[in-house]
Amino acid sequence: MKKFNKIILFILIITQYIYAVDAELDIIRKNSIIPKITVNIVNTSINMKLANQIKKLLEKDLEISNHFQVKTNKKQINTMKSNIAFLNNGKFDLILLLNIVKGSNKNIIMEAKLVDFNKKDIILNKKYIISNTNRYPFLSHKIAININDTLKAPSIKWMDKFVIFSRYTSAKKSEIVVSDYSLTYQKIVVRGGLNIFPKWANKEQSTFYYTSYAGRFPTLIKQNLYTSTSKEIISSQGMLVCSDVNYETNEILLTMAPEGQPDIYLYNTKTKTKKRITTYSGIDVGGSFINDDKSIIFISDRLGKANIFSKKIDQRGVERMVYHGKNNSQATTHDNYIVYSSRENNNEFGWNTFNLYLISTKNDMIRRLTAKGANKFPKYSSDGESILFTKNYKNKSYLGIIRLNYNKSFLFELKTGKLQSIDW
Amino acid sequence: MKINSIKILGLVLAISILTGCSSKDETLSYDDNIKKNIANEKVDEKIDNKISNIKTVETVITEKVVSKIDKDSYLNEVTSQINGVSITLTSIHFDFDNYKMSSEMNKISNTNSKKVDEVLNTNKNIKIKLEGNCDEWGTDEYNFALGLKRAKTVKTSLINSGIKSSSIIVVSLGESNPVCNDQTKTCWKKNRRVDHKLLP
Repeated sequence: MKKFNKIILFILIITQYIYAVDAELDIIRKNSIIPKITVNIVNTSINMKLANQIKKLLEKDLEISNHFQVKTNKKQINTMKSNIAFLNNGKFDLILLLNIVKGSNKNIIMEAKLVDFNKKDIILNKKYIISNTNRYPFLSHKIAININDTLKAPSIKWMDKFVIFSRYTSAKKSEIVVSDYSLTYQKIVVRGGLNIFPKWANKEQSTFYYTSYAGRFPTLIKQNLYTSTSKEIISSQGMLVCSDVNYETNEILLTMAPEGQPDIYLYNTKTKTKKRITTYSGIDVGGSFINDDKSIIFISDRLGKANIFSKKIDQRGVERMVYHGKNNSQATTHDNYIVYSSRENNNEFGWNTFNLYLISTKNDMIRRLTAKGANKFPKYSSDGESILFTKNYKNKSYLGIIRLNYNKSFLFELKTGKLQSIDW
Repeated sequence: MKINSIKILGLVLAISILTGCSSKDETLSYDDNIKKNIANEKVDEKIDNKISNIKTVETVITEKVVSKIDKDSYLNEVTSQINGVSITLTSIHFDFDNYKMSSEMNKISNTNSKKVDEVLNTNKNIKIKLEGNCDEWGTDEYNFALGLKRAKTVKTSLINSGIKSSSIIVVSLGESNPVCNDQTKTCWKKNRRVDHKLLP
């Protein structure tokens, strides 16, 4: 009996060890190892070319999210109902099956099934419809977001948002374009003449402001993306730019020059009244709201060269925000952080002329975010985790995304024209 | 002894079942495991409903202006015509990141003032528009302000020469209106300028 008890004890100890190892593996998976995923088109897809375009962009989305390791599977998968156990060889944690089928009224349906090998379960099973194959980038982004949300990873909802930009096409001519963040889908929304500095007027991205040079003076236009109806908001001699919109969307910051002197104004779109915020006789431009819209940061050359300052809207004094760099001429903020564009050569000959820097307003932290080319127009995403920016390098124009928490950046080339300004 | 061995075997078997050790030979057909909450395949709303409704607005612009660049120097000349009146004026050029006029440019501005004065005296309804321009080296909003400061500098020069302030309009085009696109020092200097044009 004593011998029997010893055996039982031995077995029980071994059993506890097995449990402990399983639990530990689970904890590792949750805390530090990102899941390996493979994206597969089943052979029954009716449009393999489109399916592969979607797959390629989706893989890029997953890679950019930094929440997945994207792996390749070379084995054929014949139907969505395939028994895919043979793929469970430790190489993948997740497998996504995609299949394009024909829908009604010339629609295309993308079937998506996500299998979790660790849970031995299908954790996402959806169908997506698009009516025009040109819009496939938004399908890719939607699938990536759904996969990300299913795995409860930090949000990548920004991938679904429109980006609006203007691009110079020739002298005194520019177009305003709406695109997805990768520039794969693009649609021109304003064409003819010089139309610049587009800025979303609301979070829903249904209306936007831009400056038109069609008339005698630069004029701020507010346009509806879907109805094309537009309204003139205000005109100004000299220059006119809408640089920011407040949270309530009833006030905007303008750089304008009614007397030929560029200053920042606060304009109330309901009462149609404006208030001058800066009075310095040199250059004051590029205001952005901060501190619950009670203050602004802006660019000024009041100390000889362009730099970044802050000011309470209802008070006179200004505070310098950046002490690094000789010429800092664009900035974006989120919480206690500022990302700005700094010119690093004193003349026009050197490359590496504009780089982006991230600083904290609470301590001395400073981090360089870019390395080559002219990097400008930094814009924080609404969640503060990513920066959108423009890069011009060796006569090419790019839209860039920096994923701040992962120290990675990605570039998307603009094939036509030169980027003038951008918003998302 | 035999009974004890059976008991041990039984116990080991029971423990194995309880620990749920999976067999590597188990066939995995995941379709059977679809949970109820996603079993009813939801057809998602049309992804591209919003995109299909996006409209394009087009404006047609006509402007009769001729710009001529002197190949041997960086100077730009602009000829503009309105209501049968024509004027050719030399643009005022500026140094990098600067909106002050050099002495050479002051002389050119004085010459321009005389021509402008002659036109405005005989055509009271015509105005002169000063367009400030920059090279590509700058962030665009700051460049628009810099172009405006340059235009204002030229306006001040014309006023000092006797032209009425009310006859002059200033506008900045930033870096949107280059006369050349070469990546050279000469081209950039050509682009840093203020042009003069007639307005009805």
